Amino acid sequence: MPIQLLTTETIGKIAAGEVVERPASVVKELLENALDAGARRISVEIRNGGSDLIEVVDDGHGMSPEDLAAAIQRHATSKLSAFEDLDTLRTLGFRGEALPSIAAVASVLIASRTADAPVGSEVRVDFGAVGPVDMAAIPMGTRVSVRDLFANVPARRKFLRQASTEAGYATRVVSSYAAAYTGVAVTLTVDGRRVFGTDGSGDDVAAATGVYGPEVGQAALRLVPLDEAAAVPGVTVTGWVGAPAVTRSHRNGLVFFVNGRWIQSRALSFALEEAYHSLLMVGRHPVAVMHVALDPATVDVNVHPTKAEVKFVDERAVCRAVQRAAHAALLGAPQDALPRVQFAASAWQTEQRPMDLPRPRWGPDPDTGRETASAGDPAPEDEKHASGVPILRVLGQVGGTYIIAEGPQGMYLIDQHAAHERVLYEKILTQISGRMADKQSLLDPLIVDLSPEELGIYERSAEELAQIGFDVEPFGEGSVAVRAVPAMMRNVDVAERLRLILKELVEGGAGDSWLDSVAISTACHTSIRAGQPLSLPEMRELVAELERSSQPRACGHGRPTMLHMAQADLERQFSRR
Amino acid sequence: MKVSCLQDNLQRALAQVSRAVASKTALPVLSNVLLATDEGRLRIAATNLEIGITTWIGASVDEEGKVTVDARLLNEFVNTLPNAPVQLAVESPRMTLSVQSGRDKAGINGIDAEDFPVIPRLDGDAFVAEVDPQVLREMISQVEFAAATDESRPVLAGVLARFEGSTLVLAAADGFRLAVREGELASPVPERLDIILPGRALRELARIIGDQTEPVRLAITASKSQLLVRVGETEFLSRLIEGTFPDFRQIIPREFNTRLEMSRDAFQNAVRRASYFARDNNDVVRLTIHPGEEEFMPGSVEVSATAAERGSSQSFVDASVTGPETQIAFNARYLADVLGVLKNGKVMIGMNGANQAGVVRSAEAEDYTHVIMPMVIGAQ
Ligand SMILES: Nc1ncnc2c1ncn2[C@@H]1O[C@H](COP(=O)(O)OP(=O)(O)OP(=O)(O)O)[C@@H](O)[C@H]1O
Ligand SMILES: [Mg+2]
Repeated sequence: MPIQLLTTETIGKIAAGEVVERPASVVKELLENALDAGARRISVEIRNGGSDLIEVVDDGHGMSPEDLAAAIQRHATSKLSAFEDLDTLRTLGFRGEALPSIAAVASVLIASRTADAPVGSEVRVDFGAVGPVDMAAIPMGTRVSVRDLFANVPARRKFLRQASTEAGYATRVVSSYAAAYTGVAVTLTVDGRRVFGTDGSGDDVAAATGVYGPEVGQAALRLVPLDEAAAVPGVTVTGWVGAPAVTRSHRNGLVFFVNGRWIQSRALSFALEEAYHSLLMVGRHPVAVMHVALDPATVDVNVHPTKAEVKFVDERAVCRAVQRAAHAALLGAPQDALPRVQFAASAWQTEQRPMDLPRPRWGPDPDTGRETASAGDPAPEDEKHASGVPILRVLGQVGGTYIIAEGPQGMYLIDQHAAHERVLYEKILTQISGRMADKQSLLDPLIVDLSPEELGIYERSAEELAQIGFDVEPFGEGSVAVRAVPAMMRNVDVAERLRLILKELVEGGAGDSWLDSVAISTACHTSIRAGQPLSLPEMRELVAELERSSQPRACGHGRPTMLHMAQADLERQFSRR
Repeated sequence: MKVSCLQDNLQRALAQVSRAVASKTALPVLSNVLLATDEGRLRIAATNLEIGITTWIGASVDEEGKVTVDARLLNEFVNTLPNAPVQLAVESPRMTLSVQSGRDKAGINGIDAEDFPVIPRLDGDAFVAEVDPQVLREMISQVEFAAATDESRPVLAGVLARFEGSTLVLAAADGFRLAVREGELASPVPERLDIILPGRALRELARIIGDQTEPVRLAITASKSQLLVRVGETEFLSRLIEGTFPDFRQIIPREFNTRLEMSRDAFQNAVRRASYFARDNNDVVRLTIHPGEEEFMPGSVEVSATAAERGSSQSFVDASVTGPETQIAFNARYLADVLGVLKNGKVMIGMNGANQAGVVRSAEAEDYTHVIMPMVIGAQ
């Protein structure tokens, strides 16, 4: 269908909005255009977080010189001519808004050639100023190069995060599409380095391996068609879910496509996790790429300016379909993975139930950070350590997570994870003051697969990680080799902890400097976890170490390490006063 | 069922199998023991699906039958009975086991034995090997502790048992250290076989072996998923861990730049002293190896540890040293672990510099090798 202008009526019905929020949104729009053009190969390149360059090259059907001129006009689309069409939409684009919106805030060069044209054409648009359409030598397909994004909108530029973070967002977009469009060979290059590539073979597991690495690829369980009784009419779910052994601390590994469109949906995420039920530990999330296919008339894609959200006519039915599909795949999962995880998970769940005490009047005062020492309290100040922690007698552990202790002024609850994190954080700081930390070498290098985002942050943090005691080197595409770990990091799953540290850093550091941020993350992910039963001597040792630390009241992230329930409060709660 | 047996036989058998009783389980029958008549004897068995223990005691069988009852309750009750004949009876269809000794009597409510998992038996199995019980017990004690305690790589949480020719090799590694012990089989096996056993199961096996002297028979079930061990009148069953154990041979250094021999006891003491100070400093213990001044003057090993807030310690141990003066640091716990399982006498330590794997062996025996990765002390 040739490109035509939409009628004003149709335009009015389309929610206009901010299409270009950040480099990742540009990447998404260009990728979708390439997919709409029927490309079999797409390569994406990003430089300096997308601020310097975003380039998408495809081998799709291309554009004639006339179409090229029309493509950069607002509301020019070849994909939709009247609003009714929205209901039968099969393409990702429909507003005719993406290219002009991008061209308004960047220097854009589009070159394209159709199959039957002997020579291609190109047009340049600099921050909205459209140049002439020229001839250009280009293979069949389209190349869109976006330079100097937001150079004319300083406010927007300032709003961007660090280049590595922006590259991380963009990577997530490309990863998701590459994993979902298995028939298209997608490669991503960031700052001149190839991050991943898929083979376009059409195989789910091959694509998952290409994007997320062999560890995820091996864990991918293909979804199988449901039998008639379980199937939800009108909704088909395909793709794969990861075995319960492969988990993440965040939901970024949950990728949903609805009629080929990448969407974010809390409802679907929850429905999917529900299928894993007790197979996952609290706080862990699975990985999955799922396609939901349904009648376009039963889903509204036009509720969000970047099309990231959709509205289902019957959301419950879609959730049900997702859940059943995942459940069926998990039931067929290799036997050995299930019982082990299940065991741990159920233990965790009972241990993680929140405490339920009547109106506790305890906890640090939000303003001063000090515990609420009640007015009537005698408060003997003498029995305290230099650090300000009262002398404590450990009584036991609640929920495998909190240590109960008695002090001169009542009862104390210590969060074992936060406390240990504080202790380790200070140990790291002392160790690295002016030198490198002690480390323990590994018998054999441990190869850890990293997601493109994690790999990016690893590269940025390599020096800091080394100072803290990690001996890590790049190893092939998408992996690193760990040769030594910080001396304090023992008896833990090194690969998992390293990934958690990097993951946290992807979100941006919590410290004053990057080294500090890396130290905080390392302390957090090396320390005793919530839900880990401790023996009395272990608890005493931890409390003693906390007493010795210089700032025992909060962990490196600023969460409190202990809560206090004053004697007087106890008496009040039990109606003794 | 109607049988009678001796109290002390029954008590010993119940204690033996109770280690395989599941403690927390969703399947009530797994916290029970099975009692069954078996060709004129009484078979007593328990399993938690990870391991299973079956043992036989002499009994006079008046009526065949079987039942399962709460292991702990039966064990506790039988423990208090005098050493005299005990009568066990079940009146079907009610699954109540009556236990009687003289005028002491109990009725314990049971669960139908049909609900109890079938524990495979040792007969006509695909693969069988025999080994001296005391050798096996020592092998287990020297290797098992080096298995990983985290489950991230299930294979490393287990112990490799390699049957090849007429040797059995046990190996375990947790990423930081490796323990390998070789022992002799009573007769050669026809083909090489590698299996990986859970560390905990091996500890149980060592306990069951106790001071047995009859050869231990090891067999693999036809499905290659379980190990069956016959120790005297007891059979032990363990699931196997699936996977391939890493090639550990390539990790063991063959040659050393520095090699030292010294008294194990003296070195063990020095390490223990240092470990008290190392505790607050990631368990770092430094070894400084001083070669002898002249040919007939012994060298020494200085064992030291420093904790910034607590203080420091140094000890010297006489040693015969070949090679240049070197320094290396190890985790005190790892040293203590291996020194604890070496026979006393002389210990040999071989190393190739501060960043390379160190090897600990008995100076008198070649059959046990322990590799420890050093700690790298941060440069200023
Ligand atoms: N890579 C490409 N290959 C072929 N044609 C393209 C390509 N990119 C854009 N076009 C053409 O340019 C038109 C405008 O693209 P644009 O992305 O601005 O709008 P759209 O995709 O139709 O709608 P939306 O704003 O929802 O993305 C498209 O309709 C399409 O015809
Ligand atoms: Mg588009």
